[in-house]
Parts: sequence; structure tokens; C-alpha cells
Amino acid sequence: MGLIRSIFMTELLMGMKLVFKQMFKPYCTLQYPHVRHDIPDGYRGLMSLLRYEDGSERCVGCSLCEAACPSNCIKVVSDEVPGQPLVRYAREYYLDITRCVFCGFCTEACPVDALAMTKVYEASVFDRRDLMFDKRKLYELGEQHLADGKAYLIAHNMDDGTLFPKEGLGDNRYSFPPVDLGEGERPVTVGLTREALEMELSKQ
Amino acid sequence: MTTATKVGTITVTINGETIGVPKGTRIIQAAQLLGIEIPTFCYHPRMRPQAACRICTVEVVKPMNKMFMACATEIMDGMEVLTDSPRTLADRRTNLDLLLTQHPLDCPVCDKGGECKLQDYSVKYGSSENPFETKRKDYPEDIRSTVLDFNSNRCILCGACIQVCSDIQQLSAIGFSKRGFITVVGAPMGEPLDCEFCGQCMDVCPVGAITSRFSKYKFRPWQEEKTQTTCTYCGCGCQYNLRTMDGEVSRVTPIEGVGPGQGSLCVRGHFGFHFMEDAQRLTKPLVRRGDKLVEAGWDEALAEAAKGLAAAKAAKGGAGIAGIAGGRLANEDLYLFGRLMRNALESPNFDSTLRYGYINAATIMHKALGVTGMMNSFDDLRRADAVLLVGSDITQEAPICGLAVKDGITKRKMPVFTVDSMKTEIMKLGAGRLVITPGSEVAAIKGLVKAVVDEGLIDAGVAAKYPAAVAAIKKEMAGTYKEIETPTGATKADLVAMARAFANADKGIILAGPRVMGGLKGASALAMLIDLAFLTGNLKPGAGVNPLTGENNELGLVLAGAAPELLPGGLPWSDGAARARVEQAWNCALPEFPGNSLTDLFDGMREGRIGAAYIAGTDPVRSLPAELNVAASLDALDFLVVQDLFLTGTALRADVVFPAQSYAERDGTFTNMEGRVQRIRQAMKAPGKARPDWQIFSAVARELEVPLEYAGTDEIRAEAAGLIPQFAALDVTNAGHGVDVTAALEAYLAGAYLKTMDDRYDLPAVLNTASPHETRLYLADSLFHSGQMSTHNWGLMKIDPADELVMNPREARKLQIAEGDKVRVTSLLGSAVVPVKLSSHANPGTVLFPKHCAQSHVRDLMGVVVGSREEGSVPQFRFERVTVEKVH
Repeated sequence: MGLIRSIFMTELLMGMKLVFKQMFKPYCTLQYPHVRHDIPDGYRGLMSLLRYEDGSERCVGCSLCEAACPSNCIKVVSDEVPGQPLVRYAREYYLDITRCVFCGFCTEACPVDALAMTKVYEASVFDRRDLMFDKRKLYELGEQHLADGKAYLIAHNMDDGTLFPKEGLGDNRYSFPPVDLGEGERPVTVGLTREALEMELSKQ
Repeated sequence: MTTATKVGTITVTINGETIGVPKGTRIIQAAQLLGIEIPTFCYHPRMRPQAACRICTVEVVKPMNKMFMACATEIMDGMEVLTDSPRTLADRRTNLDLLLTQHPLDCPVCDKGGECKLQDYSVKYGSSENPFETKRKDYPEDIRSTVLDFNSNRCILCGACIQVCSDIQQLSAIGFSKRGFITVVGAPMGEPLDCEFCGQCMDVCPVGAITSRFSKYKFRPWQEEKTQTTCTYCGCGCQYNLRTMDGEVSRVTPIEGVGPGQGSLCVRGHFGFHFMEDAQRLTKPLVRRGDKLVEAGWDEALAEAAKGLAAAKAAKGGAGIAGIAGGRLANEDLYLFGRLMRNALESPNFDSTLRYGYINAATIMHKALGVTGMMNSFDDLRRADAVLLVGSDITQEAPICGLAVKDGITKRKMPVFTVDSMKTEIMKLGAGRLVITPGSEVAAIKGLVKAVVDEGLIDAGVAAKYPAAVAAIKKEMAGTYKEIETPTGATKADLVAMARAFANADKGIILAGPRVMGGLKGASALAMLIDLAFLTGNLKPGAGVNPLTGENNELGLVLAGAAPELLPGGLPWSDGAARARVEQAWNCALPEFPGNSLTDLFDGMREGRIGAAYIAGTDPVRSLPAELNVAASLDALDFLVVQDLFLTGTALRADVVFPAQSYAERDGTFTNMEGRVQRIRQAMKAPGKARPDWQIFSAVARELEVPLEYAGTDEIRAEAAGLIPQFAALDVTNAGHGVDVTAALEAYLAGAYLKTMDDRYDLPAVLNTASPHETRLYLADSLFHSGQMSTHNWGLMKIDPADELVMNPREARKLQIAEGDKVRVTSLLGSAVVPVKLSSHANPGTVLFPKHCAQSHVRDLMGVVVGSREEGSVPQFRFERVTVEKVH
């Protein structure tokens, strides 16, 4: 049998059959980079920072994205805006893309919708240091991909399409991580000793 | 006393667990004993319950079924309480819902976010749907004060801040104003807050209504690292958490119930955390090349220092080298510095800032009572029956010790008697006061002793047990009251009233401030106070005599023996057995006679007896007046090594300058005025190449080929504990060690006591009588500053720039001087021009100037009188007669 198959090149014909079958089907390969996929709105690409319509920064530097980040790739340095008492902003904002797992938790945590993920997936560079995004780079990304960012927030039910205005922080989607305050940090904690209590009472 | 009837055991059952508690216990305290947490906003363990916030509501099942406030309800015998019953939870939820109708949800930009009780309880007990109509307040935030910002919108009106200010701090600087929904907390009359800025209102605020301007938006609580450490400003030695973010200090938070302060902090401790990061910190060793100090490597600088010191030793012997230590160094540094000076360099000339006054406390307390530091702890102060405070503005100089006194005043109506030349804060709260002429403390103390003797107030037990000693004092009291009334300005009636009230108290504590020890007859003045305590029967546990320190580790100086007449352990140099022990431990020979004291050393430098000096952690050029010629003395030296945080006036004259590390950058221990040895811990990295002081001493010794090698501060302390037993145990006060002064007292009464009696009660001559100037100038301590360190804090400098002359308003009006005007202050030694601040703190005829302030050279106007050897050779320069005139 094996010999007959070899003589008639059956395997080859079977293989070619598949080839001819595929030849008349439509392509699934794209001519990347000339042709690209349509990316869905909920796609989690590179992170960006958004601005308000008037150009001011949305980010208030609350560090909740930093707290939510599972891979510890965000660093926020918050401060008071110089010359504007009580206005909080992120003086510095760093995002280490090499460590980012693109989970999008930071955008969920953001109380002011300052963070949105874009559809940018081409992050390769020749120098790894370029993957450490700073505040300027993140705002640039946000400016370049504003429409994508807005679509992302709508797709993830974080916004009703208006990107709520600057006045009034509206909804309260805040959640703070539990902080270990340690012993004695709070006036009322468990652990009053009997001696302390007796002394306190003897003073009265 | 009522406590005897109050403390008896009753039982209470909380959530099914039964516990016996003393009568008078409140539900929340019993719950804490059982480890059950009850939520509270307004309750604070050190304050009276106010039951304002209503969140601690619990269900009492027996004896009656009702809801009670856990913080305010005293337990009845057999009470049954449920803290988590459905009814309790429903009540708490409603309370939170009501609070959240007003509280803004600006948590992301609120500095309290993450450690806010309202946040935590809302998550734990709150509902997701708030059924009430939201009525948010919209007040602008009050940011007019220097440090504290008030956000009335976030305020839940629990009143804890107001209570801490009125009960613990006793200032009542803030209060409620307006009524109903629009009630706000702030300074009265809507004025900007201008208080002591202790920041305790901020610490007790459960929400973000009071926040610090110095830490605004700089931190998130979960990002910070906490390091428990000891405050480095005054001798109270408060414990706090130094919180850092990325190696920078973000803020200081108190630790409730821990350390001498029990969780209270003053403005210096709370907001003086900027000096470590000051740009002027020394980062590299400097060596002198011609006229200039240039940066050098450690090896080069160490070799140069060792070469210079060795050359001086070769030329002039060990005694040709002087060592001067500051009271800011840690215990381990001081021990090692002493060993370097006395062992490696074989110099007996090792002195320190003890010489500014505390040396008298060190010698007399040891001689008379066998104690180093205070006899009592701050807890004893809180429980005393009477306190006599002499010559100390305690709320400025040792604020937390002052709070202990205030605690007794609020909780137990403890009578506090004050003898001082200024109108101090504690004087206003006290039961009796003597406002005396500046510099006449000795006479006033003598007056009190005389009143005790003359009025027959001597303790019967003492009179029976020690008749000889009592008779000796009686003999000295033969004079008339006139000789006391004339210099002090106090009347006989006042003296007698105060002596009577103090003598009648069971446990009377005497606190002696720097104006007692630092005066011309400092040692005698303190000995007189010991006499007073002795006569009134107050040398017993819970009562006694307590000298207050200035710098944070002055007791460490005493224990390390950082004065020529002291050995490690605070023992006198004349104690041959102790000296032999040191010689054996260090394997060296110590001379029989002590070295020279500070002022002699400066004379020696100018006269060429002293060729080299090693000064660490202090700046004598800045802290001593010009009349002592410190700068010229240092210039006359062949070689000077200075070790400090900053390029001080002393460091500028040095041949080698070593950069040291601050308390926040290293490990070690400080000894507070109670005798508590407490740890400091590394919280951040030192700037540049700065090293801890002990490593520098060790490295210099290595270069001198006398190796003093240690792996860390714990190893040094372990070695030092062989000579200084106090270093062996951490966090125990003298009183905690169980001070028993009887043996030492009996030896003293039989020996030195009678010998020194003749001179003791001779009153010193009134200061500077030759001066034609009339007004008395006093260099006062400031609450906000202590010197080099505090003035490098931009925060503290913002709160109090402190270069103003304080004048009595009425007197200023006579001279037509208004606040802020410039005046010329003239003494026999020259004049200086300074701005004026008006305050009734200064008595008529007296003007005050902050002691730490060096910029306007008022210190250089002070005449110096150096006390006799028996009186500790203390350079007395804090009083001077001056004329104040307006500059046009």
C-alpha cells in the first residue's frame, strides 16, 4: 500500500487539494501595516491622560490608579498647583509600559475620567527607556487619541457619552484601598490595658 | 479620696463575653479590654466623653432595653451590651446616612482619604442608597492660617478638635461659630487662626476638615513608610511616626498612648520636619586649603583630622586638645566621643553644652539624691497633688511636660504654683504665682524655704528623723523678709501663702527650669529647692525635685560624662572607684584631677595652652555672646575639627569639617529628661556622603591607631551599659526604675550638705548694677525654635520668623512704640536694631528676645558673668540691662 501511495504521490495530491481549496477563499491575512484590523471601542491599548475641553488637565493626582494597579507600574506625585491654593494636580505621572499588564483597572479607579486606554498597540521601540511614559507623553497620547479614549470610557460604562463636565465631580465611583494604620495610630483602637484604664479612672 | 470607693470590680457582658471592670468604667473602655471595636468619631481616650457624634450607639439589654452611647455610659453591675445587634447596625447606618447628606464626596482630593473614619465606617456600616435629601454645604476653605486649613464642608461637627484644644492644650483657640446647618469650626470672630500650632486638632479630626498646609496633597497614607522615632527638639523625647514618601518626609503623626507625650506633640515636633532636607546641609567633608574650605573625600579629611590632632597632642600633650559636645548627639555618639577624647587623645578637657546650666542639675541631683535627671515621670506629674514650677516657661521650653502639668490641672484641679519673672502661660492657669524681678530666682526660693521654716510647715516626720539638718537650715533663715522682698519684689504674704499651700499637699513636685540652674548661683538654687522638698517631706516616690532640660539629649550628655567633672554614668570625677572602673573598661589611665570647663577652654585657646579642638553637634560661636570671644579663641587654635549638619559659624573657622547625619537618617538612642532611653531609627537616606557621628568618631580613632570599632549603635550601647547602667534598659524612666533617694539623701545630709550650707543661702549680688541702663533684657526660649535645626526649617520660620523684641504693650505705648516698629537696644557692650512685638508676656520693665536668634546680634549685647567652680562655672548671659529707644 505504502508503495502504491508513493508511486501515485497521493500525499502530495491531498496537500495540493487543500491549497487549491484555500486559493478561492477570501484572505484572512491583512497587509499590515498598510491594512489594519478594526479595533473595538473597549480595546485596552496604550494608556493616555485626557484633558478637559478647555485644555486643562483632568487628573487631580489622587493616586487611586497607582493604588489599583496590580503590577505597580504607575507612580503619581501629587501637589498643590503653584499659585492656586487647594487645587490638586499630578506634578509628575509615570507609567512603566514594560510592566503594564493592560488590565484597565486604573481607568476604573479614576474618579474624574482622566485615564482612558487608546487603540494604540504598536508600542515597540528601539530603546526600552522610551517605554517609561511620563506625564507629557501620556497627555500627548491623550490629545492624539481623544476620540478613542472617549469611546473606551463609553464602552466600559464609565461615562454616558458627555465626559462629565469640569464642574461637579458627579458620580461617586470612588473606592480606596484598605490602609494598615498599625497600632496606636487611631485614638480608638482595641488594646487598652487594665493598668492604663485604672490610672485614667484614678485621675478623675 | 474618691478613687478608693470608685475602684471596685463590677461585671459587664458584651456580646456574650463577661469581664470584670473597675467601677466607673465606660462601655467603650470595657469593649476595648475585650478587643471589641466600637466605632467613634468624637471619643478620645484622653478626653472627657462628649457623646456628640452618636455613632458609638450600642444596645443595652439589661438592666433596661435601650440604646446608649458607649463612650459616655458608665457600666452598671451586671449590664449586658450588644455592639453589633441589628438594631445597633440600623442606628449606625442612619447616623452615617445623615452625616453623608452634608459631607462632600471629594475624597480623591482630600488629604484624609485612606485614613478617614467616615470613609471606613461608611464602607463597614453604611448603606449604598442614601434615602435623605442631599444638602451640601459650600463654604470656601479657610486657608488664612500659616499651617492649618479648615474645610467646613467636610466637618461632621463632632467637636473633638475643640475639645483637644480646650482640655489637653488648654488654649481654646478654636470653637464653633454660627448655629444649625451652617455651624463651622474655626478661630473666634472669624479671625484667621493664630495659635501655638500644635496640630493636635488635625490629629484628632476623624475626617479631612483640618489639614496641614505643609503636607498639602503631598501624600497618600498607603504610600507612606512609617518610622517610629524620638523627637529631636526638646528634652521631652516624644515618640512619633516620621512618615516618608520616596525618601522625603511627608509629615509627622503622633502615636496615641506611646512615650512621654502619650500622643501629644508640639509645633516643633509636628511641623519642624524640614531641616533634614534643607539645601544647606553639609554633604561632603571639607578641608581647609589656605583661606578656603574645599570639598574632600572622607579618607583625605580623616587623615588630615588625625594628623592635626596627633600633632597637637605631640606638641602640647593630651590636655592641649579640647573636645566640646552638643546635646543633640545620640547617646552612643556621646559615649564614643568621650572615649575618643579621654582614651584615644588622652585629654581630660572634654566639655559640652551642659555648661550652659544643666551641669548644676547633674552634679547637685547626683550629690544630694543620687539621681540623674528627673526624680518623677510625666505620669507622676499628671497625678501630683501640687506642683511648684520655678524659673521655667514650661509650655515653651518643654511643651509636652507642660501638657502633663495641664492634664493635672484639667482632670484633677491640681494646684500649680509658679515663680517666674515672665507672665507665662502656665502662670495664668495655676493656683498661685509670684512674679519676680528677672534674675532673682535664688532669693525667691530662699523666701519659700524661709516661709516653710518660719511658719512651722516642716514635715513632722522629717523634723523628727533629721534634726541636725533641719536645725542647720533654721539657722540660715535668721534674716528678715526684707532681704528677700527687696530683690524679688514679692511680698511676705505671697511667699507664705505659696509655701503653705505647697507644704500642705501630700505629693508635691518641684520643677526647676533653666533660669534656676543657669543662674549665677545655679547649684545653690537647686540645692535650696531640694531643701524645700526635704523640709516639706516631698522626697518620696510620686513627689520630688525635677530639673528640666533644654536640648533633647542633655541627660545623655550627663550619662556619657560629657563634662570635665563627670565620668560616664554621670558620676563625679572625684569618685576614685568609678574612675578605676572606667580605666579598666577602657584600658587607659585617667588623670586624678578633672580638666578645664568650657570658658577656661576658650581662655586656654587664646593663651596657647590648647592647640586643637574637636567640636561636634554644637555651635558655640552662635550660641555664646561676643564677650566670651569664642570666635577669636577658635581662630587662635592651630587645628579645629567640627562635625555638624550645617556649615555653622564654628564650622567656618574649622580646618576639617565632617558632615554628620541627622536623627532621621540613622539609628541610636536619646535620653529624655525623665531618664527614658528611647530609640531613633533611620527613616531616610542621608544627603551626599554624610555619616552618623559615631562612625566619624570611630574612623578618627582608627586613623589615630586606637581602634574603637563597632558594628552598630546597639553594640556601642551594650558596651556603654557596662559603665552606664541606665543605657541597659530602653523606655524606662528614673521613676520607673524605682528611684529610692533615702540612702543618697542620708549620706548627703551627713556630709556635703552641712559643709556647703554657709554659702548656699548667701544671696548673689544683683546683676550688672554698674550699668546705667534701666530696662531688663532677658533671652527667652521660644516655643517655635531651638536654634540651628529649627531655623533651617522653612515651615517653622514661616510660622515664627522670631527676630522680634517682645515688649509690654503698656510700656511700649509710653515710649510711643507700635508693633513692628524698629527699636535700638543698647547695653554697655553696644547696640542692635530689632523690630518690636507687643505682648503682655513681658512684664513692665522687662523686654524679651528669643534666645536662639543669632541674626540681629542681640545676644552680643549680653554681658557674661562666669559662675564660680562650686556653681558649675556656668557662663550666665541671659540677663542684661538695656535701654530701648525707637529708631526714626
